[in-house]
Parts: sequence; C-alpha cells; structure tokens
Amino acid sequence: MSDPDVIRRSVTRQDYAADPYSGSVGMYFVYPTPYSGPTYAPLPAWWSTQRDFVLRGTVHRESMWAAAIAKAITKTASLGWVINDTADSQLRTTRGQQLYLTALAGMQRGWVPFLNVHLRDYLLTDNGAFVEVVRASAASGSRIIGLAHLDSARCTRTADPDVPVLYRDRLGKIHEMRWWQVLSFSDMPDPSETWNGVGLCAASRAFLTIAKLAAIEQYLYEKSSGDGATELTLLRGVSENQLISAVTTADAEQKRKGAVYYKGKILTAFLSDQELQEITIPLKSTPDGFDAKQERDNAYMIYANAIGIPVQDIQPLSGQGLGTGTQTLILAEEAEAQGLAAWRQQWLHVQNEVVLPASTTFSWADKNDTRDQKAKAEVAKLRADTRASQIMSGEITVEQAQQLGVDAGDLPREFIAQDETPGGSLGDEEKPLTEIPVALAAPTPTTTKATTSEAAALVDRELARALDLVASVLGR
Amino acid sequence: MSAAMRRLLARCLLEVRKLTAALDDGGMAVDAWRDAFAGVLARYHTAAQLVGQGGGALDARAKAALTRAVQAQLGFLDRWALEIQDNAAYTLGRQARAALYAQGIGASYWRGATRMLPLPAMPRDGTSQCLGNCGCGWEITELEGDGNYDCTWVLGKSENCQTCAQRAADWAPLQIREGRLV
Repeated sequence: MSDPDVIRRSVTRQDYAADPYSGSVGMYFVYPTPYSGPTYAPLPAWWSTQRDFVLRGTVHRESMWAAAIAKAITKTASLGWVINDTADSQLRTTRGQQLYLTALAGMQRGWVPFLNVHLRDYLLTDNGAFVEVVRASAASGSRIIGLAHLDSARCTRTADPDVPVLYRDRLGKIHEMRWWQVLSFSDMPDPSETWNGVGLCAASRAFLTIAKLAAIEQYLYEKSSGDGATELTLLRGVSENQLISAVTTADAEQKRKGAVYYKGKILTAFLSDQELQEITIPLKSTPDGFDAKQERDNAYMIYANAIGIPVQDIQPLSGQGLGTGTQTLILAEEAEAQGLAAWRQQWLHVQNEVVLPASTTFSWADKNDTRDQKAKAEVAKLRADTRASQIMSGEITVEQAQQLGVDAGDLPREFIAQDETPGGSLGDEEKPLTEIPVALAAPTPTTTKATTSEAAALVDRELARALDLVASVLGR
Repeated sequence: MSAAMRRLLARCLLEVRKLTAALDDGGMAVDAWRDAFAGVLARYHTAAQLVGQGGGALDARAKAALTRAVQAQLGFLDRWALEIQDNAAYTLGRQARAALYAQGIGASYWRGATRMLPLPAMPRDGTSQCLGNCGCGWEITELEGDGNYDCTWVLGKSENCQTCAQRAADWAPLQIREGRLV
C-alpha cells in the first residue's frame, strides 16, 4: 500500500481520491483513450502528447510487441541491486534500500510496481519517464523521504534548468518541479535544444513494424474466423434472393448445430438452365510471395533491436538449425550494451549523483548470472596470480600489491590505510574519495582508539583556555 | 547550578551559535567546522567540570571521565557532520541542535560538583527523557566517616520529565558508604 506520509509531500497528492468511493477505475477517464478500435490510426508527427497516447496504446494492438515489452520490463525488474557505503554506515545503506523498496507507483508501492510503470513510460513514450524525488521539505538539501513515479503524459519538459519539469495534477494544477525534485529519463533524446530532451522511444522506432504485424495478425484472424469481407464475387445465373436465401438457410442450420465460426461449404441446388459464371475481385489480401513467418521473424528482430533485448527473449531460437546454445550467449552479451542497458546506466548515474549521499552508491548486481560471476572470479584470480608473481620477483611490495588489488576492485578500500592512487581509476559506480572527509569516516559514536586519542588530545589542548574561562566566570 | 556555571553556559551557547552560523553562511567547510566545534566542546566540558569542582586542577580520575564525556560528544558530532554533508543545503534546526551540545556541558559540571562520586546518572547527561534540558541537580550531604554521603536528586523548578520524577522518588537519598553505592 502507498505511504501516506510520502504522498502528502508529493506533487501527486491530488491524484489520489479522498475516499474509496470516488475515482475508482471505470468511473471516469482523464483523457481520451487511444486503446479502442481495431485498426491503427496514423502516428501523429514527432512530437506531440497525442503521439505519445498512440505509442502508449501499441501494447494493446499487437500481442508480440506487448509480450516483448513485458519481458524487457520484468527482466529489468528482476535484476538485483546493491547499496554500498564507503564509510560502512548501516543507517545510510538501510535508508537507501528503503528508498527503492518503497518507491511509489500510484496505488502500489515497491520496487517492482514502480519499475513496471516507469519503464513503460520509458519504452512507450517519446516524452520519457519521470520520477519525483519526494523530500521532507521544499528545500534543495532537504532529506529525501521517497521516490514517486510521475505520469509522463502530465509532465512537460521546460528549457529552465532550475525548473526542468512542470507537472499537472488531476485537478489541473501545475507544479513547478525544481531540479532537485525530479529525475527525467528519455530514450534517444533529441539533440536540438528546442525539444528539451524529448526522445524517440522504442515504440516510436518500431511503430511501422508494430502496425504492419498487427495488420497481418488481424487479417489472419479475420480470415480464420470468417469475419470481414476479403473479396467480392460477382455471380451470373443466380438471383440475389436465391443466393441470400441459400446462405441464410445454411447459416441457420449450422447455428442450430452449434457451429459458430467454421461453417464449411454451403451446398445448394438451383433449378436453372443458365450456366453459372463467377468473377472474383479481391478486397484485401496479402502481397504476392507473402511469407507470414518471415514477416514475423523480421518484426521480432526489429522489436528486439528497438527495445534492446536479445531476440531470443522474444522468440526462442530452437528449431532454427543454429548452434542455439552458443548463439544465445553471444546475443545476450551483445544485448548487454544496447537499449535498456543505457537506461540502466542513466538510472545508476542519476541515483549516485542526485539521490544518494556522497559516500553511498547504488549498483546493479545480476546475482542470478553465475556465468558472469565465474568469469569475473577467473579474471580476479589471474590478477591475484600476477600480483603474487610480482611480489615473489621483488618487483613490487605487499603494500603495493594491496594498492593494485584495491584499484582493480579485488580488495575493499578499507584494507589499505591510505589510497596512494585515489584518482587512478574510478568506475561509473564509484565516487571519488575526496567527497568523503577522512575525519568523518566513522559516523557512530564508537569507542575506537582514534576517537579516544582525539578526545584526550583535545582535552589537553584546550585545558589552558578552559582554565582562563573558569577564572573568568568565577571572577578570579 | 551555580551562577558561574550559568555564565559559562551562556558563553558556550554563543560560541556554538557563531560557529554554526558561519557554516550556514557558507563561510566554513564542514570538516573545518567539525574540528572547531570539537575544540569548543572539549574546552567547555573541561571548564564546566572545573567550575563544578570549584576550580583547582583535574586529577587522573576526573580527567579520564572528562575524556570519555568528550569522546561521546565527538561521536555524536561526527554523525551530525555526516548528516550536514549529505544535506548541505538543509540548514533548518542546526542552531537548535548546536544548542543541545552546549547544554550537554551541564553533565560535566555536575560530575565535578559531585566530586566524582559513583552516582548512576548526572543531570543533562542524556540519560533522562528531558536530555540536555534537564534542570535537576544533585544535593550531596557529607556524613561522618570516610566516603559516606547521602545524595538526593533534586527536581528542577520548572516542569520535570517522568525519568527525573522517578529519580527524585528513588534517589531520596541515594546512599554512598565508604565510597561505594549501596
């Protein structure tokens, strides 16, 4: 359930009903739905909010596209992540974890529901996805108490870096979202400054293919189910009344027998000495040489590329005469650096730069991929072996080897007293050491040797001034 | 609490407020502020203990107790400094929080005033619900013999918290005989 405290401080607070009897699903629609009608309306020109309405509706039009989107989202939602703190602050790691585990997604609360709606906006709207950073007060440095999904259709990108987004709530009130209150994401953002970061989403990139495949599937469905006219046949030698009578009688007979779709051939006898003639005019049909399987395969490839997932996620490779095991691995590795991978990186960078404190980091962790873990362990072992050889040969000392281990990420920073090469390598998941003052590294009042000695030294240092103070207040 | 201690407390409040204002104005980096604040705490806790014992010098036991008190304060200060660093622009409430540190020197005063007797708690040491705002005190009556005292927790003149009310009931008096709590 949603958190009332976070909602109260969120710009989405007006989007929630005051009581359980108003504003329920089906009682009203906020804007015209693009989800009705069997055929595709032309896609409005890039870019308008109407275009995003049509793009959002694509998942209701073509089942394989909907399945591909669902697969991409669920796969990302099931990825693991880790909150680390270089100062080992349990308070900050717990707060960070709670922030994501309690993210708001309308009436739902949690990481998975949040990511479901967030990624749908990212993949299905050119305007992109928006996240509100809910704070305890309106001040920029105020404590972050939650994250909330914002409906992309209600967000307007501005050219003002201080107020990058305007959010329109259910009552039509415009909320100016300051830069510390909102995170905006878009796929393939347009480079022209006049569009303020509006992009070209996966649905936009694949729209023609989605429309084509939807039409093919609709055609095959109607042809199979007998609905809709596919051709016009002109007959000579039989009257219209005779024809209608024959079809109606046969239809009624079949319905009586329980047949609804597959009614078979109608056999009717006519008393006539005239020769029957037939001219057929096709009304709609597939092009010459049309191969439904090939069209589908091409479409799946385009879907996979548009979303940025391996094609076998949409269609299994088995039965295609390829070395599917190896190919799956190769395709999966290739897909790691495309499409949604860019979103993952952007999410990670934004969380570490804007949302989390200086010493706390968010990182993705695909704990289920044992292949990846094994590969990493093997490379780490190679590095460890190399360092051992270098120590044995006298090339480097043990301390230098530890420094190399820390730089490579094989050892934690805490293993060395001082990082001699703090600027040597800094991954996109790390934060520079200079952001964390060494004096502040221990956040809790623990009785470590360092703080005891510091306290004793301070008492000694301040004793003379304290005696002056005593003399002053005692009037001596 | 003596008049001298009240004067000392006023000075301490002034100093921590000045320091915190400098931080709020951006005239001081967090780590520099933390070091300066730590110095002020050490100085005033030392002075408070000396005022409590009526001047003179600190013996080894007194100094060890003082160091532990300062060390605990530094731990809290470090945590606060981290919070400031995380939310640099959020300045609301800093002055009030700084004042709490100043009020905390009252515990050192009472430690000095009670001559390092093995008492279970001191006013303003943070062990009561009223924390550093405690207005209570110890009344020590020296009895005949060596190390014999009756120690009474005296409630402050204004409103009192539940902890202090209970202490006033339980420790009326608390007996120390031959230097040991009985």
